[in-house]
Amino acid sequence: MSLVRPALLIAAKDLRQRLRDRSALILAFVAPLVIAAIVSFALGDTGAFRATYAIVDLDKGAVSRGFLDRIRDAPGLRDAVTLREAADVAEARRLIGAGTVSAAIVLPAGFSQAVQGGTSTRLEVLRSVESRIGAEVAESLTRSFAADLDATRLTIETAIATGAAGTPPDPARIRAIAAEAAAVRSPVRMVDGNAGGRAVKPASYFGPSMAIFFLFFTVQYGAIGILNERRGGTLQRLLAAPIRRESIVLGKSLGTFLLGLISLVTMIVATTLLLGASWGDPVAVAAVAVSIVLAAMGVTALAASQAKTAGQADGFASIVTMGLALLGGNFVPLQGAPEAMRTIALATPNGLALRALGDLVADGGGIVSVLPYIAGILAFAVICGGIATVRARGVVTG
Amino acid sequence: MSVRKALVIGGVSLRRLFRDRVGLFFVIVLPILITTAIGFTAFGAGAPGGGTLSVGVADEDGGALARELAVRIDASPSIATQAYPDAAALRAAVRRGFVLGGVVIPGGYEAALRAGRGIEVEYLANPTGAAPAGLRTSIAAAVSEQGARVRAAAFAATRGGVSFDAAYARASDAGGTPVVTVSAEAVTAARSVPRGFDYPAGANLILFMFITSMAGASDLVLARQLGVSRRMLGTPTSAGTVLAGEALGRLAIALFQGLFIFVVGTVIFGVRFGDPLGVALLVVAFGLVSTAVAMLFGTIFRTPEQATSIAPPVGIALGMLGGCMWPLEIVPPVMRQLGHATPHAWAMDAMLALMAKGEDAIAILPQLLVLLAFAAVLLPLATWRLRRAIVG
Repeated sequence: MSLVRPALLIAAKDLRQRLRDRSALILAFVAPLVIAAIVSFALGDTGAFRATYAIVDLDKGAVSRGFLDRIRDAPGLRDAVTLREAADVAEARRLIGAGTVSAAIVLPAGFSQAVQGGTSTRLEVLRSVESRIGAEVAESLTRSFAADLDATRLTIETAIATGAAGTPPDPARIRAIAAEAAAVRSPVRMVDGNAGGRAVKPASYFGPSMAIFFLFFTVQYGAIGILNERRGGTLQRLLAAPIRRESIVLGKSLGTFLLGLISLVTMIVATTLLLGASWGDPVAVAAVAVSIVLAAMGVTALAASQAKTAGQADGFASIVTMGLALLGGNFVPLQGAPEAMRTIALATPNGLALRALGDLVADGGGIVSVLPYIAGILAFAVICGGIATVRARGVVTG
Repeated sequence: MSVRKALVIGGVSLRRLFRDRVGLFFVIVLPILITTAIGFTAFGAGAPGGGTLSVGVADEDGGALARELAVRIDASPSIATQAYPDAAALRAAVRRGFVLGGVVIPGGYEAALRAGRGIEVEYLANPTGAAPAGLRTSIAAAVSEQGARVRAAAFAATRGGVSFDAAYARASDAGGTPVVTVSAEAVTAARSVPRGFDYPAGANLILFMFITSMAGASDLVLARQLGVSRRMLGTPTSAGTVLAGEALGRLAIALFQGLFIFVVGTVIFGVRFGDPLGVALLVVAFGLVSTAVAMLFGTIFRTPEQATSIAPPVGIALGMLGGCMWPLEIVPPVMRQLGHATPHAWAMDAMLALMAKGEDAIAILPQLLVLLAFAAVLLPLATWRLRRAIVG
C-alpha cells in the first residue's frame, strides 16, 4: 500500500475544492491584500509631523523676521510647519481654542529694538493643551532662538563673573571680552546620522502582519475539513478504501500546507508589486514563510481537535487565532508599545514571524540572523501539530 | 401582521446568541480585549498625559556633561527617553521603530568640551519618516542650551583663572538677566480625538455592532437551509410578520452588542461617552444600518460558515476605512473621503463629537440623518430580497 500517492490525490482534491470556494479565496487572497492596502495608504504618512502656529507679530522688526525665517527653514520642519498670522493675542487664543493652531508665538512690540539694544524683552508662547507635541516644538523653537540670542551675553557675563575682566571689572577689558565672546561658537553640534539598514515601511509591516493573520484562518480549514468530511460521510468512505490512515492525514495536511503557502507567497508578491513592501532576503523569507505555515497549521489543528463539530472547531480555532493576533502584534503594531508587550509577542508563533520578517528588512541580514526565530516558530509547529495529529487519529477512526 | 409573533421570532434570535458559547466570545470577550490592547498601545492609556515620543539615548561617554544632556532631553515634556548601551544597539532599535528617534553622545564628549574642542552629537531618525520632525527640534533645543553654557564656561576658563567646572557652574546658575526670556502658557483647546480608552471603546462599539450583525446573518442562512422560515410560513403567520420578526431579531442583536460595549466601557474602562440621548440615538441609527446589512447578507451568503468567515474581514476593512481602527483625522484626505462612503465614518464622526467635543444630540443630527439614509436604502432592499428568499 502506497503512502504517498493517495496522499497526493487527497491533497490535490482538497486544494482544487478550496480554490473553487469563493469565501476561501476571499480569506486567503483578497482580504489580506485589501486590508494591508487600506492600512498602508491610511497610515503611510501619519508619522509625518504637521503643525500650524499662529504668529502675533507686534514688532515687525528685523530680529522678528529673522526668527520667522528660522522657523520656516528649521531642519525637517520646512514642509511640516505652517505659520499663520494673528492680529492680536485674543485672536491667537481663539485659534488655539478652536483647535486650528497648536500654539501661538507672540513677538512683543519693540522686540527687535530691545534685542539690538541689549535691554530685556520677552517672547510668549501660548500652548494648546490638546497638542502636546506641536506645542512643545513651538516652545523649543522659541527657546533655542532665545538661547542663541542670549548665548553671547551668557559668555560675557560668565567670563566677567569668574574674574576674566579683573576685580572689579575693568571697562576696557569688558569691551575686549565682549568682542572676543561674540566670535566664539558653541562647541556642540547636532548632526543627522544614519540609522543604517532599511527602514520597515508601513507596507512592509502590515503586508506580513495581515498575510499571517489571514493565513491562520486559511489553514483552519485543514482541521475543520476532516470534521466536515466525517459529517458528510466521505471520510468513512475514504477509510473503507485501501488507503492507509497516515495517507489521509498526510494528504489533508499537504493540501492545507500548499493552500497556506500559496496564499502567503501571493501576498509577498502582491504587496511587493502593489504596495511597495520590502520583505528582505528571499531564502530567509521563504524559511520563515514555510515555518509559519506549519505553525499555523499546528496551532489551529490543536484548537480544532478540542471540538466535536465543525462549527465548534471553527469557533475554537478563530478564538485562538484572534488571541494570538492580539498578542503577536498583527492588529496593533508593537514597535512603539512597551517593552513588556514586545516580549510577550515573542511567545507567539506569529509574533516571532513578524519580528523575524521585520529584522530581515531592517538589518538586511540572511537566514542565519533569524534562525532562532525560525526555531521558535517550528517548535510551535512540532508540539501543537504533534498533539493534534495524535488526536486526529481518533477522529479519523472514531 | 402580529406584533406578538414578530417579537417571539425576534426573541429567538437573541436567545440563540446567548446559547452559542463560542460565538459569545466574539461578542463579549473580544471587544474588551481589543479595547484594552489598543488603549494601551496606541492611545497611551495608563500613562498620565499620554502621547509622549520615545527617544533612545546611547551615552558612549558616560561623563557628567553627557549625563546632564541625557537628563535635559528627558526633561522635555513630550519626550520619554530610553537608554541604550551603544550606538549600534540604538541604530537597530531606531530601524525597527522601537524608538522614534535616537541621540548618540559620542565617547570623548566630556574631554572635547572641556578642552574647548568641537564635537558632534548624532541624531537618528527612523528613515521612514515615522519620527516627527518636531522631535528633532526638541532635542536640538536641549543640545544648544547645553552648548551655550559649555561655550561660556570654556571661554571663561581660558580667560580667567577659574576651572572649567567652576565656570560651568556659574554659567548654569542662570546668573544675570537674559536678554530674551520665554514664557509659556497653556491654553485650553477643543479636542478632536479623546485619549486613553475613550477612542477605542467608542470605535469598537461601532465596529462590533457591524461585525456581530453581519456574522449573525448566518442565522438567517441556517433558518433558510433548515426550512425553519418555510415552516413559520406554514403556520398562520404572514410573511410580513416573519420578516418583521427576523428584522427585530437582527436589531436586538445589534443593540445588545452596542449596549454591552457602552456599559462595559462606562463601568470598567471609565469611558465618558457624552450626551446619553445622543449616544442612544446614534446606537439605534447604526443598529438599523447593521440590521439592514445583516438581512442583506442573509440573502447573499449560501452557507452559515460563509457568514462567520467573511463577516470579520469585511467588517474590519470597512471599520478601517471608517475610522474605527484609527481616527480619520490622521489619514490622507483621499482616504478620509473614501472612508465616508461607509456608514462607520459617519457614526464615528458623531461618536467623537459626543465624546471629545461634548456635543449633544442636536449637533450630531446631520450624521444621524446620513445613517438613517443608509438604513432607508438598505432596509427595503434587504427586506425585499429576504422576502423573495423565504417565500420563494
